[in-house]
Amino acid sequence: MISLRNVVKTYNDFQLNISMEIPKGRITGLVGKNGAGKSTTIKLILGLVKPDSGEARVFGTESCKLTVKEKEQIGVCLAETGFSNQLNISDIECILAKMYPEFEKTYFQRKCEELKLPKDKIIKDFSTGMKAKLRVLVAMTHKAKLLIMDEPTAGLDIEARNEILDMLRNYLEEDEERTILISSHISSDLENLCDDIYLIHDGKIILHEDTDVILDQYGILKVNEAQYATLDQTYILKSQKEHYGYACFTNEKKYYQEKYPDIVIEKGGIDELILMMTGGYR
Amino acid sequence: MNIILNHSSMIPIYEQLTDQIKSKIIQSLLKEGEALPSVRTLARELRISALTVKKAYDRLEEEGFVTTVHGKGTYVTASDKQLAVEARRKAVEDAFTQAIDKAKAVGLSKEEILEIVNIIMEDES
Amino acid sequence: MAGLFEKDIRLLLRRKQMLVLFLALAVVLGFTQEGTFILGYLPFLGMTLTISTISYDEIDNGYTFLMTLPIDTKTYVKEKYLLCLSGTFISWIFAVVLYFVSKYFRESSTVIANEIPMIISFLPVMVLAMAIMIPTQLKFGAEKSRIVLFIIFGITAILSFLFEKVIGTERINHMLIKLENINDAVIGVSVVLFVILAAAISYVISCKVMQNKEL
Repeated sequence: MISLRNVVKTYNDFQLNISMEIPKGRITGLVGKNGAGKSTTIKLILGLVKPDSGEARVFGTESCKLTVKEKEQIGVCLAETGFSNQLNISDIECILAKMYPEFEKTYFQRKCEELKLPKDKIIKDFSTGMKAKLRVLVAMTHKAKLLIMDEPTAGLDIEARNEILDMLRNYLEEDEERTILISSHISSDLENLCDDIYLIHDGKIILHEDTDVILDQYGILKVNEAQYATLDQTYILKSQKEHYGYACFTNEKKYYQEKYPDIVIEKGGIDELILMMTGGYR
Repeated sequence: MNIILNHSSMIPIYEQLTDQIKSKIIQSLLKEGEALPSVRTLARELRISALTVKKAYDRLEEEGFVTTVHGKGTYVTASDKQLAVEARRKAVEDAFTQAIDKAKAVGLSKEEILEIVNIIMEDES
Repeated sequence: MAGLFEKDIRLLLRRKQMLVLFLALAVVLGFTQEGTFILGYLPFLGMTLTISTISYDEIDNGYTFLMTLPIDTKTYVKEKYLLCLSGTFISWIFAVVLYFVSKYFRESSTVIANEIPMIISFLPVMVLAMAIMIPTQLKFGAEKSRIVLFIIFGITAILSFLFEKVIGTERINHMLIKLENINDAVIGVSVVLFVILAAAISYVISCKVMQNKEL
């Protein structure tokens, strides 16, 4: 579905250099600190920005050359931008109907009611949560084969987040060819949803792994100085100096569980992944 | 499907899933020929990644508990208890092979390995 | 493009109160002011209102989202020109009607045919203004383009002042007299061609501006 091959994009003080392949039917998560390059990656995929070198392709076509028909197959939810905030829900409904031939009017209306989005207010007067829900809804109501979501659940409380995640799960269930790329800071959302995760840092992909592998096989060993000295480093990806000694990040938890039954080993989730791999673990 | 997963457990999720489905099949709670929910449906219900469910289904198929018909779904295979037993035997053999390889890598001899097995089995009885 | 029209028209209609106010003002001015004011004022209003939809698109990185919709930059630019032209033309028609109605009430008789060239002459001016304003707004944004417009007017004023000084009022009058002698039709056609050329150049520039925009 999505393919980035050696894509390079340089800004004044920042350079992005990545490769990514996202097959059909996947939900892929994109994580990283602010400024790591997540938004730039998404813009490259959508053809909003041209790579300095390398190729960004969606549906096999270069992103910058996507045809109108191909764009109809993409649903987009961006973090800080959307329709003009002077419009209201029925305006957007009519606009979407004219823009997307596959727009599902009744589903859109029903969902707006279920999510309690106010029919009379203009978007400017929506709460953060309502704006986010609307953005997600706009992306998901025209049978797009590919959803690109940049921080869809940012600013939402747990109930709203779950509502949206469930909507995404249902969306995928309806058609196995549908693919979703979602970037987020909220690790628990990604852990329960995504098939695989790309970790981006300083403009490079420093890790790409299946989610369940991250949850099942990655872990953090907490060792003191003495233990660290004799520790088998084969599967240690990174170590951080701590006040008690060292925190060692591994992708083979089981190996260390069996070999060193005395060592404290904690489960590694996406947050730990980000912290350890990009430095700065507490 | 009544599956309960413990996300805080040290046991990998896909293992928990495989084990629970397996025991349901063995206890005939899932009947022969019955269809398991689709990968995406189960992923949605359990709120886990579809890939995890797929891995569990693949594992179950390897062990002979289910069969996947491409385009149709995944079904419980003939609850020929023999087949299940065969599969479980195979799984145990694989586990042994892994352990023995590890032991050899650390430098244990055949006698030392057998001794370890005896000690463990004695402890249990 | 239909979706874009839908969006822009709905945005314009949001400001119903302001539109009604302007309309009322227009009618009042039409009847109180010396005739031709309304013929310039209304179309100019129509033009600036429709162009203002650009600033709605620009706010809060709106362009970024717009470009992910199934449209391309050319379509976006086309829609703006079409919207602006239609808006200007409709306001012009309205102004013409107002003009004749008010004239009728004041003078009770009027020969329409004589006024036609004068009335029509407002259109190319508007189209020219549009040809300058659209690419300016697209490139510099609503705020800065007002300054740019100011500068352009300023420069034009200074240039015409200098022109007059350098060449002298006498010679200008000679030139004007010569112009008057040229066939009206010739003037008409050349004006139309000039305006079409300007609009075409403006369109090309706008497309380039949008394509190179950092999103």
